[in-house]
Amino acid sequence: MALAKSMPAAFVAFASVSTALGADVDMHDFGREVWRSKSSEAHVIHLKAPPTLQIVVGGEILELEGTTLSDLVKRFGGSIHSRGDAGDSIYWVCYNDAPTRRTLWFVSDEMGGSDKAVMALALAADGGGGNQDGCAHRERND
Amino acid sequence: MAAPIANVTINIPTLGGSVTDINHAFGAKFTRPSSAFLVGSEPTAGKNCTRQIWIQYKLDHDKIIGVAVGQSTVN
Repeated sequence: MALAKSMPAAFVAFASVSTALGADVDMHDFGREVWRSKSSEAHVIHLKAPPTLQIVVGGEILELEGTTLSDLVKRFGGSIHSRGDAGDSIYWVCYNDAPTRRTLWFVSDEMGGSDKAVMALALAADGGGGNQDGCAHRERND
Repeated sequence: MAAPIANVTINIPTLGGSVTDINHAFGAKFTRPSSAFLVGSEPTAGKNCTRQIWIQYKLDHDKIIGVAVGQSTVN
């Protein structure tokens, strides 16, 4: 069975970000790996039940499908980017961290509704070292 | 205004962790994959919907260098 057919819609939508972003905001190596893994490389495990996730951002719990991209922008700055139309729409806010060379993305899509609820987040250690245009930056350890 | 990236925590193995951490956390038996994808679904309480959570790892020599998580609730 083709792996792509077993992927959840949110994953496919998220993975498409890596190809939709173009030159201004790329997902770099991690994004490309996510994209490739749709068809071949990922080792897949189907869990008996969803893991209980707890995501804390800046001391506050982030709720997938609850917290919105606007909530994050109000709290942490940055701006909402978008690509695509209608059902293919993707929205994201991203942050670079120069000291640790990490990049963080919060992603929404059509399923996030008009409020653009966060449907996924990604954190990469090799995401460009804070040099990605369009992502908010943290330049120093302070 | 501080970007949130320096203050993100997730209660699963994340950057700096290892394949061993993933295997321990999820009962997996990965050896040396370049990427790993874990997905789980369950009915939502009181609603005719299914909630699905997925986790994607990018790995380099057993070390986690990328992690992504997502959730969707669908009819």
